[in-house]
Amino acid sequence: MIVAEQKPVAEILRMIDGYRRILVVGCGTCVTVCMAGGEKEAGILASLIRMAWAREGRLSPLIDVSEATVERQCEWEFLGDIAEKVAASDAVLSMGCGAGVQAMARMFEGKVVLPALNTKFIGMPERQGLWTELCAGCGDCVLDRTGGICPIARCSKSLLNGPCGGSQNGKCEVSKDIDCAWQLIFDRMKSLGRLEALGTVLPPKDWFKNRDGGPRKVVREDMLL
Amino acid sequence: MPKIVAFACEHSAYEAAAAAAALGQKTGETMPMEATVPGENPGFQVGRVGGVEIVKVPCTGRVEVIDILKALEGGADGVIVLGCFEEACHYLTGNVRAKKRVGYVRRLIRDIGIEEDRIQFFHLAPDMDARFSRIIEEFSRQVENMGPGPATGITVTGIGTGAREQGLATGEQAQAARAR
Repeated sequence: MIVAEQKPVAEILRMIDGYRRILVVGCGTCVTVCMAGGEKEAGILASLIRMAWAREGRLSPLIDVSEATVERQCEWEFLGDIAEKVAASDAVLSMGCGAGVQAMARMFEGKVVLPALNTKFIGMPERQGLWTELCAGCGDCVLDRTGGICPIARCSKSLLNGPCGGSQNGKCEVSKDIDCAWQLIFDRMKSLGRLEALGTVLPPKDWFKNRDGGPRKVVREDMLL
Repeated sequence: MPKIVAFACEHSAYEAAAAAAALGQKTGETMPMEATVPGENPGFQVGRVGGVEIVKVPCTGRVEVIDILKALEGGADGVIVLGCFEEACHYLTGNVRAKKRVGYVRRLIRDIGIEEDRIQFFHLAPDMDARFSRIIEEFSRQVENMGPGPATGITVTGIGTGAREQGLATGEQAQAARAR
């Protein structure tokens, strides 16, 4: 899933300064699971904004900070539900990931849509309250050759053919809290009895499948209408 | 007296509050306890002891961030969460989680310029009626010195009880409240 975290409240308050009617929009998918921008968090942020503004003496009948949550901000069909509320606001504060913010900005033309979150990465919850990056969305998956552990996302240097000289006791030289991805790959391939596969040198990665040619698209001809 | 909302665990702090009420231990006066009524949050019961609104909860771990914020927003000058001592939680770690959550809300309100000491966590055992009274007294004094709380004029009935259901007071409600 996509993992995000909320921006500091002070930054959000600066961002919405000058607007009077704010709609805080939560998203019911990834950011709900990573506890950054779901219904609960939208309620909390809206409450904080109201109290911050009340403290500044800014509350007036013209001020309106309310919240709404959609199932998925990154799909048009879910955004129609909040169209009326959006229309009644001066600015929309999105608690979705970067895709959610942009989907709303496109859907609600002429409306200011602001991000309340910093979108971090594709990953998973390691345990309650801790999320780790697992996939860099590089566009050319090598997991078949690396025992299901991604060297692009999890090796600090994104190396393709074994660890660098900084790997010490299974840890990365960047930090003792980071596992060396290549140590993990080696251990996993060993347990799979596939160590010999690591003898095959991986060719330089085809980065044209990553950031080349602007925003990437995925097309399924059979699904197009 | 400032308006205080206390979320009290039914296994410890609520018993202490009831005992304090029974003994009338508040200095110079009694602390009558009113019958509790079910709140809209499942498992929450609202009542009063002395001037304090007590929200009886099955475990402080059940108290969410938004419940505390709604209490403040709805007019409380201070909010205390009263849970069991560590190792004594009926649900093992609910009190520890509640304490962490209180720390989190304190940081949140500090970030928006509100005194973080308006929200505090205390441990209590069922027989600590005197400690309950002392906590209420001291907390009330502290909060009084801070002045009025960060209420937004939004009417939230049954503070703490309906935080998620009814207390999701929207700006429209706020406007309506102000217009009245």
